[in-house]
Amino acid sequence: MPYPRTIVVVAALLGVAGVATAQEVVDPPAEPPPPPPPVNQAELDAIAEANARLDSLGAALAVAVQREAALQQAIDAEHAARVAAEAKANTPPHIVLSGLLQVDAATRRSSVDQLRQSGDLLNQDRVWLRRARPKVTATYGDLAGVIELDLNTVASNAVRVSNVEATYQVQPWLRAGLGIAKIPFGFEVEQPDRERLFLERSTVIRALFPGEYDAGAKISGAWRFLRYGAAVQNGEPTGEKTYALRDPNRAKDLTARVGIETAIGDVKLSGGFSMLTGRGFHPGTPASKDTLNWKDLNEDGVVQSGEIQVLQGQAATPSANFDRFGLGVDAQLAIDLHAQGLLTIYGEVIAAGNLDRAIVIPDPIASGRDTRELGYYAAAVYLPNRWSALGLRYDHYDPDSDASELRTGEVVPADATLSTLSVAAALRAAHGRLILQYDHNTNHSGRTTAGVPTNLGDDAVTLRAEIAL
Amino acid sequence: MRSAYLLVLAACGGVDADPGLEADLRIAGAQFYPGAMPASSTDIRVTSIDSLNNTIRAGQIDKALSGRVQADGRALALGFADDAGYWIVPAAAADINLPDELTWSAKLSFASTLAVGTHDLLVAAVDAHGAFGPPDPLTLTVRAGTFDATGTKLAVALRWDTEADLDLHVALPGEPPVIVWWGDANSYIPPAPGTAPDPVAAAASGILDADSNDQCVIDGRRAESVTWRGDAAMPPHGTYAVLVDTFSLCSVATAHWVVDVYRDGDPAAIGHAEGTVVDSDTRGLHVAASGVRALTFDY
Repeated sequence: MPYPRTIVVVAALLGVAGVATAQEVVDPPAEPPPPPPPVNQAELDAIAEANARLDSLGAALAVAVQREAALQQAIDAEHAARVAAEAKANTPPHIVLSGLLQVDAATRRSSVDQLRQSGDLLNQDRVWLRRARPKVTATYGDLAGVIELDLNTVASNAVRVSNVEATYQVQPWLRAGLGIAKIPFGFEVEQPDRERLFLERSTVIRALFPGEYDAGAKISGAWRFLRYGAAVQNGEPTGEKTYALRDPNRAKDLTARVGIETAIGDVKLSGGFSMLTGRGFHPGTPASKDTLNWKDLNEDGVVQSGEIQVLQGQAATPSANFDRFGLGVDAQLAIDLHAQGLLTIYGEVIAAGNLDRAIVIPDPIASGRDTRELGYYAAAVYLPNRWSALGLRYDHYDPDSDASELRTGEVVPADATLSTLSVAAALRAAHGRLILQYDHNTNHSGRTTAGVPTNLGDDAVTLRAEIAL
Repeated sequence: MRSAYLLVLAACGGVDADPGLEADLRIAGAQFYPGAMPASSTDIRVTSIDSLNNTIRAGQIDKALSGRVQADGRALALGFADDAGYWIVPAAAADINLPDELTWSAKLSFASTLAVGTHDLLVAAVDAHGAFGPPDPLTLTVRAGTFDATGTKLAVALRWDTEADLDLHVALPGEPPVIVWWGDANSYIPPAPGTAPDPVAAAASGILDADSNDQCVIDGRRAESVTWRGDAAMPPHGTYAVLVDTFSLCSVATAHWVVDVYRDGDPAAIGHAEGTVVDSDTRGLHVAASGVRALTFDY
């Protein structure tokens, strides 16, 4: 490798200076020093100038050496990165098997040993498999894949897809994925089931994001204290009633959350803002034929000529889309109380329009008006030690803020809110929990003897055994 | 133990979610309260009860009942005096002709086990404070659930015990036999084109009265019959075949059926057969003369 020109020049000058110095050392000192020559100002100036040039060249040399060292460091770093990348590429995938098992036993006040008109069971005093989720996670360098199934006996003996996702770590602060992933909205949607003390998510979350997972593309990541996630998904989550994990329209739901996560002393603080925009679907109807209808006008059980009506067939009606949205804000506060344990307080508020996909499903095309939803929850979880946990949560959900009903002929506002006060206590072990929860559910589905809406008793006590594999 | 649980859970208020299926009277969309109707503590009255037909049958559904209540009324309580509970129906809009009174309406259904005879349906007004007015009785007569052969020359009656869609097929004597079933509910054979219809023939024919639980639209009848009724009726002489076709079990596991044949209005059956159908009996084309052969008889 050729030396830089500046180094050669500096070396030559130093060599000349060195020879001159050596010649002065070998001069014989026997003779008395000659009288000092007359001061030649011109020579002095030349020497000073040479010294100045020497200093300048020395500084330039130092800079050059420093640059060379930096260059060598960069070369070494790049080499090390290449070696690491080659090693990672040649490493076999890292496969992890995990799972979650939750079995519930419950008693509920609204339970009766009867069937609905639809044939559904009204008895809810039973033992059932709430979640059994075998999960395989494979990591292959920056690539990763997840397959998780959900087995349960909630409504029937069911097996369904839960989480199937392929992801790529684009940058340390950016991960991109495609598949069936959690909807990046708020806190409880993305909170893992195995970390949540309360048996189920709050009502507003179960109504707006049933099943929590949806099919689409998703990015997420963290940079310093910032956290973010965004997804373009079908808009029909796994728990949706009609089109779960399918998509009746080409419009996709865009969901995003931006938040922070930081620690101040013994306090961890996190929170964020979330939004969703998308389009729902109003199904059209097929054409129908003319039909005969019998209406037993005199209630004698016998068909008579005047009781036969012709119901004329109707032409098909088109399907249509409608807009829906959701806005949310969430916050979490975890306080390390040292010997007294860990206290976590968290909550979330969501305002939405035409977004309910599980409890009161809106159809603004049919009803002629948009449906506004509002919900929130606040919870406190206290972990006094390694083997126990206590929790208190209140959630409130209004599926239709503009609901009304006819009362003695007049249209009056109707309260359709659902709220639940949950008290939970758990015994914890390394890979399992035993949770007892009492839910005080409040609704407006009953009627007083005066005909006014009132609470239809629906309180529940549930015992859950959980194993995390 | 269960009672103790319920006591604890009920302590937090609210009304019961009991759907009232143990009661003889059921009202869709109304609130059921177990126990006897409270005694009257106010003078508020139901001013009218409108019923199209006070004769009902056990298992009947959607009987319309309506009326008016004084303006201070906010709800109506309805129930049989000796029933498991009563029902609360909110009052509706003011009456157009009597604006100082409110209207009300309800769709009543009755248990299949409702005893034959008369029953007093009590209807009481309830004011805004939940105070009950004096109940007004509406006497309903439950007619016998068995087939009434009075006035018939020949009758074939089918009944069954669950909410399945069973169909009665009766093959008349002749070659080829005329089949009376839901696809051809009358044994009358129209004349050939250009031939004047016989005015007596239609009246002489046998008629299927209804297709109960048609397409699993449950009507609560669970009975069908083919009858030759009236003086003009002329059932053909010969050998008849009666078939029971299981169109659908409508999500129930089985259905037990009974076929009776009556002659000349005599309540004593001249033919009787019973059987049970299961899911495999729903196979087949469900066309004329489908199903299992219940019995044959000569007329």
